[in-house]
Amino acid sequence: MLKPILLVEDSPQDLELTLIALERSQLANDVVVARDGEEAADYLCRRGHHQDRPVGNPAVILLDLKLPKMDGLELLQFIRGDRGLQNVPVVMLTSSSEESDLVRAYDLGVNAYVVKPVNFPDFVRAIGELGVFWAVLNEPPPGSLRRTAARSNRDSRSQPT
Amino acid sequence: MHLPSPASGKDIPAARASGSTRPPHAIQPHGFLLVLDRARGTILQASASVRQHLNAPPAELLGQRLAYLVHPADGRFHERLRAATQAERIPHHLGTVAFIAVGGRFDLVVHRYGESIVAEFEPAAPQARPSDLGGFVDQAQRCQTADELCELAVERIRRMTGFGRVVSLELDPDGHGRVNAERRGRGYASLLGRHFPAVGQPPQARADARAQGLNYIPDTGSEPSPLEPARHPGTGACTDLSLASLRAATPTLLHCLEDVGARAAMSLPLMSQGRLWGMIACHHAQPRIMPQAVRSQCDLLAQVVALQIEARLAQAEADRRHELQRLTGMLLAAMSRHDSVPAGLASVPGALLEFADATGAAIVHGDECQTFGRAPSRRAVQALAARLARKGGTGVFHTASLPDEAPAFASLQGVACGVLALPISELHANYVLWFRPEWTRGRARPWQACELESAAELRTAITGIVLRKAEELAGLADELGRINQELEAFSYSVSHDLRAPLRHIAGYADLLREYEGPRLSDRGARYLDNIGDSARFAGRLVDALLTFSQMGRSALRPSQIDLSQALEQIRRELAPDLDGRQVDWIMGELPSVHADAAYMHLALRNLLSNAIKYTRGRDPAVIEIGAWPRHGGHVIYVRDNGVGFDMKYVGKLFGVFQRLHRMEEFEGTGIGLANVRRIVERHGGRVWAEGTPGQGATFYVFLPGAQPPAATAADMKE
Repeated sequence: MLKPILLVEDSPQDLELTLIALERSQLANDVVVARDGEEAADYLCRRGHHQDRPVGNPAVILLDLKLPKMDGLELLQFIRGDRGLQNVPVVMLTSSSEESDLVRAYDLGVNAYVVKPVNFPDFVRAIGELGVFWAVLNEPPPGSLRRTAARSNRDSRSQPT
Repeated sequence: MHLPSPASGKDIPAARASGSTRPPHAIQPHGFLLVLDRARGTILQASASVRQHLNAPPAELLGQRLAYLVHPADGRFHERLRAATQAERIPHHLGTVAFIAVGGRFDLVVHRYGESIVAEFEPAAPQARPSDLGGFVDQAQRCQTADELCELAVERIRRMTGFGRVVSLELDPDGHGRVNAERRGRGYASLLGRHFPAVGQPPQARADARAQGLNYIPDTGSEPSPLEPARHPGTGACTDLSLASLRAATPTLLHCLEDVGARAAMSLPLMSQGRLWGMIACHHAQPRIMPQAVRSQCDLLAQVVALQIEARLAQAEADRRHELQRLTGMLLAAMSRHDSVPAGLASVPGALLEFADATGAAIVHGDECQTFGRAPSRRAVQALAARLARKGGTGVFHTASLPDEAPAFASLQGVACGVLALPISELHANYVLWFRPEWTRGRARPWQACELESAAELRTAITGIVLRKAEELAGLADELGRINQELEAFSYSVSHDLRAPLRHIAGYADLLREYEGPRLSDRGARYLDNIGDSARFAGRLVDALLTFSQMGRSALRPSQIDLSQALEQIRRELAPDLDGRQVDWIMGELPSVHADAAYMHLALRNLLSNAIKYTRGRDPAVIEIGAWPRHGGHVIYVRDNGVGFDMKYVGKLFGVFQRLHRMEEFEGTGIGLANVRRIVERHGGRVWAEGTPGQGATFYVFLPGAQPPAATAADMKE
């Protein structure tokens, strides 16, 4: 079973377009959607609506910058401050190319940063590349607990189903 | 005290000049002098001239009591002498006395010298015709200026004395003089307007001028008459005769009188406000006897004139102070009306000159120098300012003699002998300077105390204005910072909030086409394409606007850029835009410049991209790039033979979203040239353009040398 991708996005239009883009990238991972930062935190910590979900962190978190309640940067800060979550790859998705956001996100330890292109085919390509890189190719730092888990993921993919 | 040697005359040999300061030990022989013991009244010393006046050798008089040699021969005469010599060094005229031994009467003047009395005798002349002094005072009071008073005085004194030439001299505080009034008879050369350096007038001698009063030499050719014995028997020293009106003329004085062709002379000091303001000098080509009574009247008249001069000077100073206040007000008003202190001062050149009663003025501000009236060359003024700056000091600098102060600038003395300089910046070598030409040899008319005071006040006020302007600027910077923050917030919301719906429109339009394309009519498909295209174009506009706003805010990282290399790279990048068109590139010599590499790349790329775009359809398209040095920086130009533009729209060319062509003709967001301008201006440079419709356009970029770039709001905030 592949680890899911956590997509945190509040805009229904962006959500739909991103899901289509992920679908077209032909990733096998499930996509879990959270509509704001708080819900994403609940999912990650297995509490609230998500208290019964199976154990395990997502393969990658695709995180919109501007979110209701807890925004993307706050959630990122929360993730990087949590021992159990701090190594989960986080990719920032945003409409903005504001330098201050970018600098702040890197300060907080974001793994990648994508400004959503206006042109839809470009958007599909960007999301697809991100998904492949972070959900499939990226390896956690050596010695981390989930190194084996990540390898087993790859192994499982390489096995014919 | 007499007229010194004129400036144009021969220099006085040192040996002769040195005699001028030595106290005289002999008297003129037209009278005689006795030194008495003040307690007992006995004669201690007698001048050799007693031989001709009293028919007795000096030795015969020594030890005798003077009171018993005169009529009436009783002891009371000595009491009169003692009473008149209570105070030291104040001469008293005691009227006339008659000696028992000889006929005729003698005018007697006495003064005390320590424990001695110096008694001077001169043959008395018949009573002089009383002078109409009252009428003179009336006339004097009607005079407006010191010069007019001097005119009146020399005219009256010449009439009273019959001297061949009577002149008056105005002296500056250092004793340099100028002849300001003259009356002369036939055969006498004019001295009017001539200047005299201070000679043989140490301050003490000038201070004594009041006590000495009138000085009278009836014959420069007479043999001086020494005292016998030469030394005072009580003190063993030579008796000081400097207060004696009979004292012999010094060699210097005789030399000077010879220079002006005088055999007889008389001078009267004009004292004002405790200093020797000037004097009246009388000359005659032959020996001339001037009776004591006439001399007294002249003396009185000179005192009246001096008092009147003092009143005029006080009035003139009060007027000048009032005038200075008015001028200071004018200058300050002008400065606050203008952006800068120099611009303000330069706008009222008349007031600027009047303020220091100067013939020339200059303002040195950074590398700039402006001159007004009769001033030295700009280069000379700047050299002078540089010297002042090296010398340091933040106060007012002034000199009446620049050649003395700085011999290197002696050649300027024709226009700038006197210099008054006002530093107007705490940090920079910025000055306001005023100039006065040479007035006497190597000296300008001195700067008055009230002028220096006003200059210091003006400086304080200027510093205040500069400070206020700095505060205004700081306020402006705060305001700019605030506006900039608003702009940042605005551009953030533009980028985030406006971009998202555009992305959605474009995305859904694409999806709609994908899923429903086959079912759409041709028209519907075209509409859908237009929706997508418009949304994408709007997205590009938003991105361009964001880049533009970031360009104004982000800090520059300047480095040395080789423009030839940069342009080569841009040409390679733009090759695809050529669509296989042929372009003749003419590349001139290109310098290396100090600029932010990324931004300069963007600016040049915009210019080249424009040139390629607007030469579409030209065969061949010719694009020329070149540069030339200017003001330590470079002008870089990009010239094309494209569609050009009408110069009447040149003002719109560099504006945001300004387009001079229809969208169908030439695509673009209309922000490229605005970016170019913003980038170049951030580097402290300037852009401009020339064009002719149908013939092409040339864009110019001036980049200054490696100086700090002009501050922007963002830099100020940092």
